[in-house]
Amino acid sequence: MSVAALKKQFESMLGASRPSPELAPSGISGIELPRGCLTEIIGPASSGRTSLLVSILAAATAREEVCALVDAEDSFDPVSAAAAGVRLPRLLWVRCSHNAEHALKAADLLIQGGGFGLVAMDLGDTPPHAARRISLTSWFRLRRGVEHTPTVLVTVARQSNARTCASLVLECARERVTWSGARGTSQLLRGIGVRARSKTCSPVFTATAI
Amino acid sequence: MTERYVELHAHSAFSFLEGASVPEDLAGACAEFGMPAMALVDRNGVYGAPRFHMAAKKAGIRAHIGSEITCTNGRTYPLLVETREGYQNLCRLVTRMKLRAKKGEGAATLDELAEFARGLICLTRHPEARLLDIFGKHNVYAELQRHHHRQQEARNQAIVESGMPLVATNGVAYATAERRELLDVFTCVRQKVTLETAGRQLERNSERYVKTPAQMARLFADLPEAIAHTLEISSRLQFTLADLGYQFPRYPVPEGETQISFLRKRVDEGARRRYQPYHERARHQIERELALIEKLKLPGYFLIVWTLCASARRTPSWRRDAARPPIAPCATRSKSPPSTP
Amino acid sequence: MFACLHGNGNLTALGFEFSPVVEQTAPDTVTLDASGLDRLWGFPQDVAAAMARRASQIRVKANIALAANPDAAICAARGFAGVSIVPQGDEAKFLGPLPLAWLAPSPELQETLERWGIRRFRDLAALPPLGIAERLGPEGLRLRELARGEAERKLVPLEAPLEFEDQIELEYPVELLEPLAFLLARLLNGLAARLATRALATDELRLRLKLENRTIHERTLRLPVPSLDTKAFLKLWQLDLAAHPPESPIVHVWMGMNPVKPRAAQGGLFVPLAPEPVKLELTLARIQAIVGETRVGSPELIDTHRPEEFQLVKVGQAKWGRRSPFVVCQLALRAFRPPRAARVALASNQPSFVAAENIRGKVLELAGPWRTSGDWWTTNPWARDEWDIALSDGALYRIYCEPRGWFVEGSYD
Repeated sequence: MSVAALKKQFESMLGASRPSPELAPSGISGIELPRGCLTEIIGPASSGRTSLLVSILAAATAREEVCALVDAEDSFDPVSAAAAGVRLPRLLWVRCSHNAEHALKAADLLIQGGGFGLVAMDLGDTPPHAARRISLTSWFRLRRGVEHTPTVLVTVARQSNARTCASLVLECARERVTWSGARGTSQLLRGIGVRARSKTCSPVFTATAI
Repeated sequence: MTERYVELHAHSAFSFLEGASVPEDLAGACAEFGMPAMALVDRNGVYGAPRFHMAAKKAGIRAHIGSEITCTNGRTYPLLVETREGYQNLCRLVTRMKLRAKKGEGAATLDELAEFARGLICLTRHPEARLLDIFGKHNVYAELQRHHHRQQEARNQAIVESGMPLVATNGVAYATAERRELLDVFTCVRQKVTLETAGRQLERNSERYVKTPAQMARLFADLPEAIAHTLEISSRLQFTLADLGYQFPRYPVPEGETQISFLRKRVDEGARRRYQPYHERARHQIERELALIEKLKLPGYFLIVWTLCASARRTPSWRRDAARPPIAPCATRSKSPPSTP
Repeated sequence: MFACLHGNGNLTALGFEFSPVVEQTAPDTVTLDASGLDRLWGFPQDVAAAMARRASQIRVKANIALAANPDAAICAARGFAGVSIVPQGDEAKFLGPLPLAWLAPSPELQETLERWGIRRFRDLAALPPLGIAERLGPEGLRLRELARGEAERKLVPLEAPLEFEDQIELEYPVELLEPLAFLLARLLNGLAARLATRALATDELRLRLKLENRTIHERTLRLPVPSLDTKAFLKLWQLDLAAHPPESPIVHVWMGMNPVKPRAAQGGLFVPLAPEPVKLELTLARIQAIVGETRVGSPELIDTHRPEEFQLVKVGQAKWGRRSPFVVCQLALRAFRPPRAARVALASNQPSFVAAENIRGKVLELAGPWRTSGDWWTTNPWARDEWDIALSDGALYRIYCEPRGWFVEGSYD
C-alpha cells in the first residue's frame, strides 16, 4: 500500500487531521509564511533574501504587528527598510556584534516573552561554520516556543541549518539584474529578479531599487 | 573640438532666498567659461533682469530674460522670453498672478499660461500634452538636470522616454560651489529653522554652480542633442531688455493735437496766469524744460499728473489729506526750477 | 471601628497601609479609621493581628488597639502593651485601670480630682453625670465621657501622602546583590500594597542607595504602562543593578514609586498582536544584559541627507515621519558595520576593480557617482561619491569614496 494511502487510512481512523497552520502574507504574491512554525530563507549573497525578509517585515508591521529582528552580524539597514514600507516604530532591532550565540539567546528570550507577530533571526552574513554551531536541539526549542502561537519564526542564512525543524524552506536565487540608461554616463541600478524555490512552488518576484 | 553650451536655467539672489549669487557674479562666471549667453529665470518675476542685462553687457555676453512661474498644479515652469510680445505677456502674467495674492505668494492657472503664451518658450520636467497645446509644439522642451542623484536620474530617464525634445540645464542656484553654504543658510531663513534642524530641506550636494561647457558635455555625453538644443534655443531668444521700447500711456488729446502740442498750450495758459508779467527768464526756463520733456518722450506723464491735480482740487477731502498736492507743473509751477522727474 | 497605633517607627506609613483616613494624634500615636477592614480580615482580633504582623515586618514597635471610637482606642493603645481589643459596650470596664492623668485635664480640674481622690478612669466613670456637670462644668462632663470610653469624634485626617516612598537602614553593609534582593522585595511589596489600597499603580520607580564610601547610587526604572507587578519590578531591579552595580557596599536603601492611575484594561476582539508591556520590559532588560544596553531598540531615522543616520529608541516611541508609498518589494541593503576599507582601481575615473575583506573582483557593471555632502558647519562634515556595482564575485555592492578613502558600505541582497 502506498504511503499516501496509509496516511489517509490513519487519518480517517484517528478522526480529524491536524489543522493546517494559518498563513501570514509576505507582501509578495505566492509567498506566505505559516504562523507558529519555523521558515528558513536561504541563498548566497545578493540573491534577494534580505529583500524578501524586509518585505515580510513591511507586511507584518503594516498589519500593526510588533516584530523583532535579531541581527547576528549587525547588518540591518533602517533607511532601505523604511523605503520598503517597514513601520520602524513597530520593529524591535537587536544588534548582536557578530555573535551567533548571542543571537540564539536573544531569540530564545523574545520567543519566551511572547506577543510578537514575527521573530526574525538574520544569520545572512554569519559564516557557515558559526551558524552550524547552533545545535538542532536549539532549533527544536525555538520552534516549540512558537508552536500554537500566532508568532511567525523566520531565519535568513546562507544554507539551511534547521533542517527538519523548518516547516518551510525558501531557497532564493538571483535570476537577473536590471540596469537602465547609458553605460558609463547615466546608468541606474533598477533592481533584481529573484526566484524563491520551495518544495511545493517557486514564485518569482522583483526587488526594485528605484 | 571646443564644447559649446548655454545655461538656460539660472536663479539669482532675486529669486528671494532661493538663489545665492547676484546677477553680476552669474554673468561673470558665464563670461569666464566662454559661454556666449545665459538665461536668468528668477522665481515669479523679472526682478533681476535689469542688473543681469547691464552686467552681461559689460561682460560681453547676451542676457536672456525669463521667469520660473509657479502654477496652481503645484509645478513650476521656466518660461524664456523669445520676442518682445513674449516679454509683455510674461509681465502681464506675473502682474495678474501677483495682484490677487498676498505678498510673496501667487500662482498662475494653466489657463492663464495659455492666455499669455505667445512669444515664450517653456521648459518642463513633467512632459504633458497640455503644454504642447498651450505653447505650441516647437516651444516646449523637456529639461534634464544631472546633479548625481539617483531619483533625479530615474526622472531623467522617464523624461527621455516621453519623446519630447530635450534640453540640458544645470538648475544653477549659485555661481561657485562654495556658495552652496549660503544657499543652505537662505533655506533656513526661508523655512524659519536652524541649520541643525533643517534636515533634508538643505541642499544634497554642491552641484548647482555654473559649470563649464566641457563639464556639461561630459555629464550629458550620452545625450549630445540635449546640449545642442541649448544653443538652438539661445539663438531663438532674440529679445533683450534693450528692446523694451517703453511708452507711457497715451493721454487722450483733442483732434488735431499731439501730446506735446497740447501740453505746450496748457503750459502757456498756466504760465501766463502765474507769471504776471510773463517775463523773459521764465519763458526761457519753461522752453528748456518743455524741450527736455519732448526729448525724453514724457508729455503723456505730465498730462496725467495735471489731470490728477485738477481732480484733487475739485475733491475737497483729497486736498485735506494730501500733505502737498502732487507736482502740477502747468497750474501751480513753483518759482524754483522744477526737478524733471 | 477605629484603630490606634502607639509606639515608634514609621507609624503613619503603617497606618496608610490599612486605611486612607489616618490621624497623627501625637508624634508617637497614630489613629486610623478601620471600618471596612473587617471585610478583609474578619474579626477585630484578626484585623489587629494583621496590623501586628505588618508592624513587625517593617520594624515598627507599637501597641495596637481597636475600639468603637477613636479616643477609646487611643487610651487603650497608650495604656496597654501589645494588642488590645476594646469590647464594644464595655469600654468603661476595659479602660477602668488607666490613670486619669492621661486624659490631660486642665490643672485646676486635675487638682480638684486629686483632692477628691479620683485617680483612675473607673473612679470618674462611676460618678453621676449631673453631679459632674454641676461641680466641674462641661469639661468635667467631657472627661467623664472619655473615661467611660464613650466619646465620639471625627478623626482629623492627615493629608494623604502623594509620595510613596520607604527606606531601610541596614544593620551591616550589604555587598552582594542577593541579600539586597530580599530588602528590595520588602520595600516593593509595602509600597505596592499602599498604592493598591488607593487604587493606584506606578510607572516609575526610583532607588537611592547610600554607600559605605559616602556616595549615593541612584537608579530609575521607567515602565511603558502603569503596573503593580512586584515580581517583574524585582527582576527588573536585579537586572538593572547587575548592569550598573554600586561601587561600594550599601548601608541604606530608599525606594520611591510614582503614583499614577492604572491604565484601563484593553478589551476588544481585534487587538493587534503586541507583547505585554511589562513582560517586554523584562525581556529587553535580559537581552540588553547579553548584547549591551545601547544595542536594542526601535530604529528611528534622522531627518538629514547624511547616509546611515538613525538612532535607537524605546519600542513604540520612535517617530514615524517618512511614509513612503508601499512599493512591491524594495531592494534591501545589508550593511557592513563598520564599513570595509577597500582598494579600488580606477579606469577613466570609474571603479574597475575592488578588493576588500572577503570581497574581490572586477567591476562588471556600475551606476554612479551619486554625490552627497553636508554638515559643512559642524566639525564633522561629510562628502562622498557612491557607486552601485556588480562585481565578478557574483554579488552587488554599494561602495563609496570619501576623503579618507574607498569603502564598501554593504551588499544589495
